[in-house]
Amino acid sequence: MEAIVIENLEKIFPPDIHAVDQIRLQIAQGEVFGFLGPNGAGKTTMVKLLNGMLEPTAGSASIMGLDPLKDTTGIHAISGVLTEHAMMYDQMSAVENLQFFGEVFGLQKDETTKRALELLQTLQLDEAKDQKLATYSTGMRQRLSLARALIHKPKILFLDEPTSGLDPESAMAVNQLIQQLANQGVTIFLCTHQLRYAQELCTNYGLISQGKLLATGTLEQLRKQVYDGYTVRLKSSWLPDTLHYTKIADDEIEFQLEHEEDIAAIIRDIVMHGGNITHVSSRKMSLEEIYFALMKEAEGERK
Amino acid sequence: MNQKMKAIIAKDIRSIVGEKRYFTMLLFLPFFLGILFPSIFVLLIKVAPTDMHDLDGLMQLLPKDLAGDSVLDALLSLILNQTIPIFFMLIPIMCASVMAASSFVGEKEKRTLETLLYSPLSLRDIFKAKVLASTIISLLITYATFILMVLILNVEFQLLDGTFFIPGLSWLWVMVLLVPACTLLAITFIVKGSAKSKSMEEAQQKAAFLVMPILLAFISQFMGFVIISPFMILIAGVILFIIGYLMLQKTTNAFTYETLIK
Repeated sequence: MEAIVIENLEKIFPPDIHAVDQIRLQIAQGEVFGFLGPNGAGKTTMVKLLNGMLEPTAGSASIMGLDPLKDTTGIHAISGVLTEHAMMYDQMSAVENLQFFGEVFGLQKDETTKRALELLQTLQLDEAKDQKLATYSTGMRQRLSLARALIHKPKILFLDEPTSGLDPESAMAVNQLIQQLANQGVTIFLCTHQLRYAQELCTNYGLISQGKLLATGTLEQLRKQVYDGYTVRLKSSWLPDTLHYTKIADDEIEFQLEHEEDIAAIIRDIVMHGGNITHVSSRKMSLEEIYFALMKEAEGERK
Repeated sequence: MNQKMKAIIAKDIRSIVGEKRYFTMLLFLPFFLGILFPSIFVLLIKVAPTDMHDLDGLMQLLPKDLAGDSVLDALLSLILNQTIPIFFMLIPIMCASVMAASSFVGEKEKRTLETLLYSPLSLRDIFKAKVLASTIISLLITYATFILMVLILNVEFQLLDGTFFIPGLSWLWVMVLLVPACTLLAITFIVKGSAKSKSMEEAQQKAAFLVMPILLAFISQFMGFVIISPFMILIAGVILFIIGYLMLQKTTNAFTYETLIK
């Protein structure tokens, strides 16, 4: 079953800002879907549309078969949402905040407390559990917000920039938790502009720019849309004349190859001509490179 | 009412009680209007009577049952049963305004309302819980102030001339109808303004508009222009309660998630 189905969804803010522009998307249950784009691309608007917070200008969506506009509370009961603007209560401690939100989600007090303490420990906040939120740093607040989004064991998790403001150690703890949830079958809709971070976690991607969906699919599928070959980096004292390359440093170059096996013939040629090779490496296009290539293409089309 | 709504009510009440600045603001007016003001009046009239000829005009306006009493008793009865009850309505307006401003505008200002909107409670239920929290605080403080005022006045009466103070019929209608009506109206003004108000203070200023007709009624009574009878209070209470209830319904129905997270 598809967890999220989006059909030609559109949101236009006055005067004529197309925040989400005719997006079609299907996300399977248990998938970690990376919704990627720069700030202002329309990621947060999409989260709000899917949770019934905004009314679409056109199109429709369904979350586990529920309509965000007709069954908003039903969707809220099965999803956890972490957005930049959704804050918690400064005058309450971390445990009190989680207890309150647990009760609002219909959990019993004992159950909420148990779950709150577990989450605080997982997110390394157990030592500060009784501190008022007013004393919390940005990173601590962000982790607590994640705990809040998870308090009722949601089936779908909407995470909008979950590692923003986190130090590397905290970001790792958050990543591990997201991975763990994905392994348990929770569907994750992850919005971020940190493409390297997304590549570590996501199984599927949707790349968005100025409200338009540029491409969707797995990393392999996205590569096929842009370039599926290899980028080879070579450091050598001699280079064949036939090679088309880009110079990176004095004796270091980069060139592209369709098949990785072709590297052997080039190396053989260099060695036979008495050249000294000090470095050879090959890699496929990263998500970041794919994204920028697609962005460039989209900009070209717009012009 | 379900457990989820009860959690919001309890949280809202704890928030205001725990915030020293707002709680002091909540208690200041009841203390001044409900305790200090009536006590001083009783003392002034019973201990230091002034020249009563100035009050002849006022005495002629009094209802027949009061006009038969001595000037001092009539004046005391007029102030305690006709004037103070009107003034007393400022208490629920003030309490409900502070509470509703904290509960609606404060949450919006601190961006905690958006988090609450992602809960499995309908917009209507969230509003209902918040209106109930403001109503509970407003009524509790107003009724507690009234009980305390009656106790203190009786102690004062006993010490000064061995008599008792028994609240008149006006008090019944004020407490049962006008106080809840004023509470509802004050909450409505705050909720209505919450979409546009950027801070709690701004929202409270808008609700201050409600104070004007009460001050007008108070001054009119005090100056002797008009005497508001218990029957008039009963009618005004019923009408204002209905207006407050309908306005609140209309205001809350006008809200959508989108207008609230803007």
